[in-house]
Parts: sequence; structure tokens; C-alpha cells
Amino acid sequence: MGDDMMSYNGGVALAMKGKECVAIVCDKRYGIQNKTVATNFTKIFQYGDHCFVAFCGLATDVQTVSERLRFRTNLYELREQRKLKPLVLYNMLTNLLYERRFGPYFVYALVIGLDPKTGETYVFDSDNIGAISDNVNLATVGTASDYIFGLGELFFKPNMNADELFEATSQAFLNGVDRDSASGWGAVVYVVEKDKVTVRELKGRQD
Amino acid sequence: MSGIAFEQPAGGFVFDNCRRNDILLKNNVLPGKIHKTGTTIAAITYKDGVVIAADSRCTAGNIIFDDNVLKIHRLSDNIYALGAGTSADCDFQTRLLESQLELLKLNQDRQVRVATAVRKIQQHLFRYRGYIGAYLIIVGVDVTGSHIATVHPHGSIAFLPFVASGSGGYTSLSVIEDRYKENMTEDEAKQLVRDALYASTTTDLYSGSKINMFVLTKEKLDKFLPYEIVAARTEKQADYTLAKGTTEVISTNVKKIEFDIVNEKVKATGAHEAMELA
Amino acid sequence: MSERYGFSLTTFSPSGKLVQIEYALNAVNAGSPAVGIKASNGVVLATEKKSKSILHDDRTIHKVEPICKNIGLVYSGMGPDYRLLVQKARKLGQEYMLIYEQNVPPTQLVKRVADVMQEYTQSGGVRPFGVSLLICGYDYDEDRPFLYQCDPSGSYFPWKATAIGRNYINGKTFLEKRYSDQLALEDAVHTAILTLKESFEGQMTEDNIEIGICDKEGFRRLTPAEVKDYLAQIG
Repeated sequence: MGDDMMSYNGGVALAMKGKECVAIVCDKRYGIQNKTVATNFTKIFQYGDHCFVAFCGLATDVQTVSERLRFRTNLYELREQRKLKPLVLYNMLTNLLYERRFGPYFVYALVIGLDPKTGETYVFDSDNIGAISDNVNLATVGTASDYIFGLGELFFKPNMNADELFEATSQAFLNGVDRDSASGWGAVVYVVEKDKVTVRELKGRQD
Repeated sequence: MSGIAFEQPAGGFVFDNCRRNDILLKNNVLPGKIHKTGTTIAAITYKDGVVIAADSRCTAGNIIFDDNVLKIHRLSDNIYALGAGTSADCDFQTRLLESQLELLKLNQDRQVRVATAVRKIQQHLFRYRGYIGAYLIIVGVDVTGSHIATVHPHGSIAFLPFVASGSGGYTSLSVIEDRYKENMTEDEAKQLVRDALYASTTTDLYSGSKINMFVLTKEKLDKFLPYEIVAARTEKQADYTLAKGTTEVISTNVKKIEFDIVNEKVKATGAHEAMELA
Repeated sequence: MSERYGFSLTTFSPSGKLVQIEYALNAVNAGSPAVGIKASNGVVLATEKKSKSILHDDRTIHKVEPICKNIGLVYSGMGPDYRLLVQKARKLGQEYMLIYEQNVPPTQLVKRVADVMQEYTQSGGVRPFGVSLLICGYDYDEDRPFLYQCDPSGSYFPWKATAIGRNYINGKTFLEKRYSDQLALEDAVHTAILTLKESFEGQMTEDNIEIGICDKEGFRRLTPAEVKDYLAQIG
């Protein structure tokens, strides 16, 4: 293992949609191949009141891309004097990634957002060169994504409230991550609603 | 507008990661998998126009990422593209082409032709020597009639009466080859394309779920989204709703969001400046 | 102008003026009039399009131009300069679309077009544009229409209603009397035509004026038949 750039540092994230709420969760492990180096490395970044992005892949690129995106989104908000919307954020990110089509960053991304006026929720994913996805019900990226996908599909149902969404997202994530050696060491869940963001730290297996 | 800051997108590709990535690759490190759209896309001409169809499955490896994808991209009101190959390339190249055609339409104040769209993307792909992995079928109707063209990543093109492409393309093509005739009616054409797509969605791993279909003529555009659901997902057989408090939580932190949907008011300052200059 | 200040076309005069820009404004003020009025649900642009000779075939050239789905332009001043700006504006609109996959908000397009015009007051080997633009558009984020004026200096102003070009002072006085915030788009079209009529010489027909309207559905130029209907309603 470890020959693939995308699993060099490990890490995984899951996003799921509810009714006027949307959740995103990531693990906290930062490793170098089979060696765990840190256990507080979260991969979710906030870009505006209701918009979050999770990056999984090579840790150096996770940080670089998140900062680059931060630069662009900040400049957007300053220049246009308007709040970042999920779709705009997603397009800025996929553009950033596709610019490096022939020398990509090794990151996959999840973008979630909520429109506070309409309550419309957004979940998008992207590969490392910015492939554009639809607005989906759930998406997952990272080393344990294959395991989590099935569980997420099981626990997902349309129009969950914030509490149900939290439990569904957390359980799908925790149980999937337990079968992955390259991610884990607890998790952080963000549940975004119109008027608040709830951040919960979850207990996970520590090995 | 570009070049003010390094981070400002100036358009075009950036190659500053290439050296690093090359070194990584030389050390036997694999790059991540890029999303490919294993796909079936098909198009045929009939008496009054064209019928195009695509399946709706998006895969990454063997994982089905999305079951309800629209692989028919708009290029202009009278031209549409179907994409197979690297997802990102199909998405971005069709977007770029759409934008160029819109500009052309505005500047020459008339509808663009299919041949123009095909030539533009052909020249673009040729410049990139096949590295942009977009296998496109471009269809449309214009003043010269209805057309179907396939464009390959290296820039070769062919105008054809019917075509199918993608991982399920050969399966579909064999069905179309068998039953295609010139000047079919709309119903015949729709049925043929449907049968062709049905054949590939049921055999090809990377095609599936639904058949989306557009019928395009000089007068109209009919969208069938979907035309047929080939394989619907089964209903869940139990309710897996988890009780509140199932998950063990270490800490909770609630951040209230200040509710300020500010409507930007444009301040009318500086109007006196205008007067001075005027 | 003294020789010492003549090495560039746009150099400050000792009194702090850029006379070239003022001359450009003179070119604008000699141009045929254009009017813009913002209604509650949209904006209207209207302009005179008089041909100098009856031999002109004037249905193929336009002064009111669409820029992208939700934005349109009209000008006073020099036609060739305008065409260049129209092309640049369209390109800017498409660039924005490619980055954000959103229709460019009018405010943003105006800023960028004004940047282009400013560049031509400070660059070597060029002269300022001999046009003022009226830019109308619909902002989908804020769900309301906008009307801007863009001058050769690169300054821009939001308006409820304004007139540029020949007789613009009379036009503005007329608009000040006629304007109300509750104006609907239909009425705004009438008011725009009446404003043009104030200084119009000869018979106004569907061939010698041009009108564009912009609302939630987007921007479009009215067909001569539609203009004819409006003229008939006014009588």
C-alpha cells in the first residue's frame, strides 16, 4: 500500500443531505503511509456562512488547495460585495482543479452548502481534475469511501431533520472508517442549518 | 484583469505541478484515479431532425457515483453535445465551446452552424494532441439541415447519419446498424435509439439506470428526462432511522449564523463627479 | 495646449484637467441621444437611429446590443468605438460565466467595462473612447434591475433614469418631471419614447428609433413591429 498518492496520508470524508440541513464529516488522522503522525488533522474548511468543503488526498495539496480557494473566495466576496453561494464556490473549486488538468493536485473534494433564503441544500463532489457532479444526496471521497458509500446509502432517506441527519451521517461514517486502516482516530461532524452550524466531535477507534 | 495577483485565474492551463508530479511518478507512485464516464451515447438522424440519447450512470472504477446524470450538454439552442471519456474534459470543453458559440452568435447576430461548432472543437482538441480525453458527439440542426458528427480527442471528425460511442457504444451501434434506414419517422427513430440504449445499459457495466433522450428539429426540442427507467433501484425493505443519541459525541459546539441576507444597495455617490466631467 | 504637455494625448493640464477626456465627452454630447429608464420590474433603453440619407439600408445595423442573457447596451458618440466596447463586454460576460457558471451581475460587468475605458485614458498610443454607454441589466441575486452610465473617463453611475448625447439636459429635465418609482416597464417604454420625441426632428418611425428592454426574462431588442405598436399607442 501507499503507492497511490491519494492514500499516502489517508483520510476520508462524507457529506449527506437532509431537509433544510446538510452534513459533512471527516476523520482526524494524518499519516505517512502506515505511520500515524497526528490525530487532529481535520479536512473540512469553511468558505462562507453556509458553505463547507472537505478535501481528501495528499495532505500538502489539501492545505495548498484549501488556501488557494480561500484566496479566490475572499477576493470574490470583496470584489462583488455579495455572499458566496454554494454553486459559485463549487464552480470556483472545479475551475481551480481543472486549471491543473495536466499537473493535478492530488485531492478529491466534497462541497456542501445551503441557501438560507430557500432552504435548498447542495452536495457536490469532484475528482482531482475538477469533474463536475450533479447536486446529489450523498457523496464520499477518500481512502474509506468505498466502504462508507454503501453504509451511507443504507442510512440515507429523503428529508431527514437535523438530528436524524447527524445520526445517519455519523453512523455511516464511523462504521465505514473502522474497516479502513488509513483513516480514523475520531471524526468531526458539521451539520449546517439555516440559522446555525453544529460542530460535534465524535469518538472513534484510536488505532 | 489578469495578472494583478498570481492567484487570479488568467484562463488556460497551469503547469506548475507538472515537475513535482513527474518526480513522484518516476518513484513508482500512482496518481489518483480520474473520473471516466463509462457511458453509452447515441445519435441518429431521421426525417425531420435528430434523436440523441444517453444513459445516466456516472462511475468511478466500479463504484456507481451517481445514477441520474445528464450527459447531454447544451452548446447552443440548436446544437447539443454528448460526451464520453474523461468527465472533467467533457464538462469543461463543452462549457468552453458553449461560451465561444454564444459569443459568435451575438457577434454575427445569427444562429451558429453545426459545422462551426465541430470545427472549433476539432481545432482545439488537435492543439492538445489527444491529451484532452473528450470523445464527443455533436448534433444539431441549422440552415443546412440536421447533422451528427463525432469528434475524437486527437481532432479527427466524421459526419455520419448515425453513431454511438462510449463503453457501451459498440453494443448500441450494432442495434442501430441492424435496423437503421433513411427517412425514418420520429416514432421509429425514438424506438430504435431506445432499443439501442436498452441493449447497452443492460450489458455494459458502466452504462445504466435511465435513458435520457432529446429530439431536436428545426422547430422544436423535446426533452425526455428520462425516456425510460431501465433499472430502478429497489425500495428499501426496512426503515433504518437511527434514534437521537445513538452516536457517542465528545463535544458539541453550536455556531449561530447571523442572519443578514444583505441586499446590496448601490450608493449614488460620485454623481457630482460626473457632472463636473460632463 | 502647451508643447510641454503634449507628449502624451492624455496628460494633465496645469489646471488638473485631462482635456482629452473632456473632448471625448464633447464627442459624446454631439452624438445622437439615448435614454434609459429603470422601471419597477425592468429597464428600457431607447435611442435615435437616424440615417443621413434615404438611400441607407438601416435595418441591418443596430445601436442597441445584447451583451449576454441579462444585459444590454446602448451608446451616444462614436459608432466604431462602441462596437469595440460591445465586443469586449461580451467577452467579459462570457469569461465571468466560465468561472462562476452564473450570469454576470450588471454591477460587475459595468465595473469591468469601465476598467477597459479607464485603461484607454492612461495607456500609450491610444485615445479615450468617444462614447458614453448606458448599460442595463437584471441582477438575479438581488432580484432587481439596474441601469448604469459609463463615461469615457471610466467613471460609472447608477441611475433611475437618464439621458445622454445631444440635448441630454432637456432629456433629463423631462425625465425628472415624468419619473416615478412605481413605473412599470410598459409605461417606461412610453416615457422613453416621449423623452426622445422632445428633441426629435421629423417623423418618428420604427426605423429611426431603436428600443431594448430588460426584465427577469433577460434582455432583448424590440422588433420594428413592436416599436411600431408602441408608437401607435402614443399617437
